[in-house]
Amino acid sequence: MGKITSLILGVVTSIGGFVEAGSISTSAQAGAEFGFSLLWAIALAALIVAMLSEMTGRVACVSRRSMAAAVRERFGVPFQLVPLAGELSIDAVLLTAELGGAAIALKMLTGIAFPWWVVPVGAAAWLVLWLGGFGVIEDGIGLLGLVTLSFVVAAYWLHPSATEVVRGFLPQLPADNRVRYAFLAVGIVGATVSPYLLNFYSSGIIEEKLGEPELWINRTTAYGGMGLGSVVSMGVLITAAVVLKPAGVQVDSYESAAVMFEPVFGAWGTALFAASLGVGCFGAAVEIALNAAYAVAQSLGWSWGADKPRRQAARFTAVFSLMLLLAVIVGVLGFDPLQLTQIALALTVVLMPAVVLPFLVLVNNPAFVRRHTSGPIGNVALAALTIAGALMAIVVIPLELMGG
Amino acid sequence: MLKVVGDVLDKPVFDRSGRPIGRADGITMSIVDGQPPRLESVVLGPAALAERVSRRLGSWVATWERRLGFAGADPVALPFTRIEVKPLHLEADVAAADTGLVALEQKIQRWLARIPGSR
Repeated sequence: MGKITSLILGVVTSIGGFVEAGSISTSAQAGAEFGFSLLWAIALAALIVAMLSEMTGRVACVSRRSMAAAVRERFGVPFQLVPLAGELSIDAVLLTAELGGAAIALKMLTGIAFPWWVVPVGAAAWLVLWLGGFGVIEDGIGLLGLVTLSFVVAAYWLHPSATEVVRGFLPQLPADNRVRYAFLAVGIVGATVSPYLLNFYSSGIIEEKLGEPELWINRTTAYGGMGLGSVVSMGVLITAAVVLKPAGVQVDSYESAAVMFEPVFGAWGTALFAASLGVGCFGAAVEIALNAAYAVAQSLGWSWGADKPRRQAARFTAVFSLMLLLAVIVGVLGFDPLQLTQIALALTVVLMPAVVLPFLVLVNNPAFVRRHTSGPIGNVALAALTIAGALMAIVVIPLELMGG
Repeated sequence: MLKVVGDVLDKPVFDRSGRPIGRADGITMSIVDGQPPRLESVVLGPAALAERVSRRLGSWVATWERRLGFAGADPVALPFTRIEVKPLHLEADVAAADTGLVALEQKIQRWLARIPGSR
């Protein structure tokens, strides 16, 4: 495949793979409760995830090491244990939430209760991983995910006030419900800057055999893909702000969020929302299960790779199979996927410094990136944002749980 | 000069056919009075890895490995004379199957072979 084709496909699939349970639910809740005023949080989260993706990709291109492998080699096992255990815990909760989200999408289409769909969805995810190579998993699911652009179409057709939309990009504290507002801002960042996304991205760079001469592809994919992908999340927020907020609809379930498509797509609204939710969550579930296998196998030095025959990478295969099995068992018990998503997002932001800060060290170490070290502005900004986000999460999450 | 931490410890280890067999989970060194420390072996295996976190965890993992019946349960020490240090990995002049380090991998391979579509 030509480099330009690879680049275009990378950007397009990043857009298609951007939204999933976390981003749909937090953006919908933010729009329904606070109108456009949390658009800045999506833009900020997209900037952070683009910067981090570019960094993980740069390390992978230059050193041929994924994020998990590089952290182990630079910091050793006792240190790596914290981010790895944190990442796997978040992966487990988020994977259950994504399977649940896809199952709820099928419930919307069929009327059959969602726990019944968890096993078929989990089995389908496992089949994709069992039979598909990296191209099928990454590009196939990313292209299917373009159905989520329906959120952008809906936002456009609803003709929101341009002035109010622009004002939403300026951080502002609301007159009341400030804790809830801060909680949703933290949730939006947590939904976007998932550790799984970063290690998956760096593993993808190695799977696709990108090297130092392809750093420009990495940069364009990271900033272009994540930037354009965030437009889909903004589409969810704007649609919810225009449709759900005036109607006083609170997004306490995915079904209540589905109403947002009705003014634009009419009778097809629920089906289109279900398709967007289902494809987004299913794609994320496949990527999360695969990422757990990447992280464990790379940390322990096992054979790994989505393009390898599964028996040749047997332990890698066993990890994604066990992760899916665990998530299916928890999912069948009927835990609310929306609540699981919020737990995963809170955990993500609290643990983010443990994931991000070591990486800032790596990306400034010539042993890993040669002359491609980061500039001081990016380093300081990213470190400050990460620590500020975690501190905010530590303050806001207990307050929110105690009822504001 | 070789840097043990950085050039050896935690590096991925491949056998002589290029098959990944793990990472350098630990090392053993000999110290003789009046001489510089000498790197004796590179140690691989879950128990060696766990011991890096805590000695008690290491012995707990080793006990469970023996109970579960995995061959090569104890950490495998590869003499450093049979290790070549490459820029990105270590190359061991051994066959993976002879070390016991891939016993679990082989067991899972047999299970996977029974699943339709196995490749």
